Amino acid sequence: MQPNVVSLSESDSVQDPTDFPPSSIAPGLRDLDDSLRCPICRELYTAPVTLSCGHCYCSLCIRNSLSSKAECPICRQNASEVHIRKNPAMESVVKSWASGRDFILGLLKPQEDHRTSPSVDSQGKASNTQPDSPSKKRKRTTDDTLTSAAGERKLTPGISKAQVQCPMCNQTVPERTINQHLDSGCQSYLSEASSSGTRGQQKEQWSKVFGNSGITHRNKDKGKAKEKEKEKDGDPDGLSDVDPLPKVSYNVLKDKLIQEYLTEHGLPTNGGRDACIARHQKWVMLFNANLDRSPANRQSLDQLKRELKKWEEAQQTRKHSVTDVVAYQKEHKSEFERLKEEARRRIPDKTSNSAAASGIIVIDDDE
Amino acid sequence: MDARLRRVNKEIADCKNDKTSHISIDLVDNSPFHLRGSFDGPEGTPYEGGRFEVDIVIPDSYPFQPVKMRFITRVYHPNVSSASGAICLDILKDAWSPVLTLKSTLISLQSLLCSPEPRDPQDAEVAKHYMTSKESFEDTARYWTQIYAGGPGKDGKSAVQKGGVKDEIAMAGLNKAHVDQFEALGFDRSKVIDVLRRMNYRGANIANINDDRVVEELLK
Repeated sequence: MQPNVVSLSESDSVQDPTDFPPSSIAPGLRDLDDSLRCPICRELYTAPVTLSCGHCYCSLCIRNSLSSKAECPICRQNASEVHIRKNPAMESVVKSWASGRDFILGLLKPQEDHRTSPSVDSQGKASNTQPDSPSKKRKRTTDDTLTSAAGERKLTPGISKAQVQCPMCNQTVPERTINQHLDSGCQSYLSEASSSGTRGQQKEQWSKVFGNSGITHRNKDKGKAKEKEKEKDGDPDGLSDVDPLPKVSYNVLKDKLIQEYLTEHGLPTNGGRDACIARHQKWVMLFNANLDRSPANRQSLDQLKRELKKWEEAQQTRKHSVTDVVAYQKEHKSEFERLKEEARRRIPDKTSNSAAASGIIVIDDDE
Repeated sequence: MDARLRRVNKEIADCKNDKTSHISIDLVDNSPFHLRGSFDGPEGTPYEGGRFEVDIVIPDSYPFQPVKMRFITRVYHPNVSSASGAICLDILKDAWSPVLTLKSTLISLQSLLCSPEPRDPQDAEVAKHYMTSKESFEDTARYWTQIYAGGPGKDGKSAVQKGGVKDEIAMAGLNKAHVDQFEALGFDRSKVIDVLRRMNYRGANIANINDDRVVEELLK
């Protein structure tokens, strides 16, 4: 069990404050890194915002949190989305820290090697940007354990040289056939045939979104957010002076209207009412969180849509349930057998263990 | 990689790096979302010296929904089910906050062992025992810690000198004399223990329970 944990946390390039040596060696650095992280996601702040109590979170994190409970997660003071205020000072601090972080770690590296274990090759790796503190020994090689542990839903940004990710459908496609793949409307020339019926349909919907995103915007001639849309068209990447989207009370809306809301933003309207509501809610969250970034750091609407799509796909993978029970049983037969065997072994083990531990106890039901 | 996995990874690493809290988190199978945590029984309580294991399941919407925790080690405590290990603790339910971590939640469990809340019980029988006689409750909790969590027991090893006979009665937190009394009437021993435990036949409460009522229960 122990080695598993090691491979889990080490194979991954997750950064955290313990990349820095303790305050006895480098005073303040670990605390600094810690205080520039969102207490919810433990990442460096993305679009930091504060609530009226003064506590700071990533915009998206706190919006997520407030949607399930209207209070500050730290001090539990009542809070709602109207209390969210941008924190541009924090944003620029984090931005500078993010760019300087690896450099500082690099500076610390030789010193640390020197102090803790001079035998670890201290000459060659001094300029290494990745922190390999000897006490923690983080491996940077990508281990497959993680991929399998994370499930297939892990989206791979760049897989191997011959494989590329299609900008339209996000699927993996061999590099040499990418053009044919695009010409086919993302239908063929895939690396592996993975799209099933509904998924395929969804893909189609989404690829339409990306393919025609410009047109959808321009075709808009009704809806309340018309003017805002126009602004976005004129300045799709800057998103300057855009008002945040209002919260919608979906309960009182008809299906048709919800779909209209989605089309207004050029989003697909497939799936049932619940799917549409969830999609729109998430969109509002992503959109408003994006506005909490300073204009220079904002993502384009296409990026946000991609994000939304990623999220929706992750939702679907999570909901994946066993459809063919018999096949599942067959496939995992050995695993079941192993578990049964383990469980059987454990039962007599426990009684004999406790008897051995206490020395004298004999558990005897007859008496 | 999704945010949930990243956060869980950090939390596991955090526990591994912290040598002072004596809290550990291990994988159960290949999934990083099914874990097993363990912590030491708090000092100055009947749970001292024991090591308690907790089954941890991380839900899809973590950290916006609470982790699911359940004791694997059997614990004699008003807010923990003695049969299933289910835990009654507000932060595992509606008082959850996304800034809580696996480590801080395990520490909360540790402090739950320090301060039982019998007025909001998970295990009503244990809670009654606690309310009736705290001393007797602590003896039983200590005994359970010794049997299931590897604790040292009351004054070293002497608590178990009487061998197997002591076992069942101490587990139920009963007095041997009382069990003998009803066993002498010709009832099965395990049945006597079961009935007396259910009726909370302990300490000051004994005065409230008529012998006839006990016999009635035994005959049911």
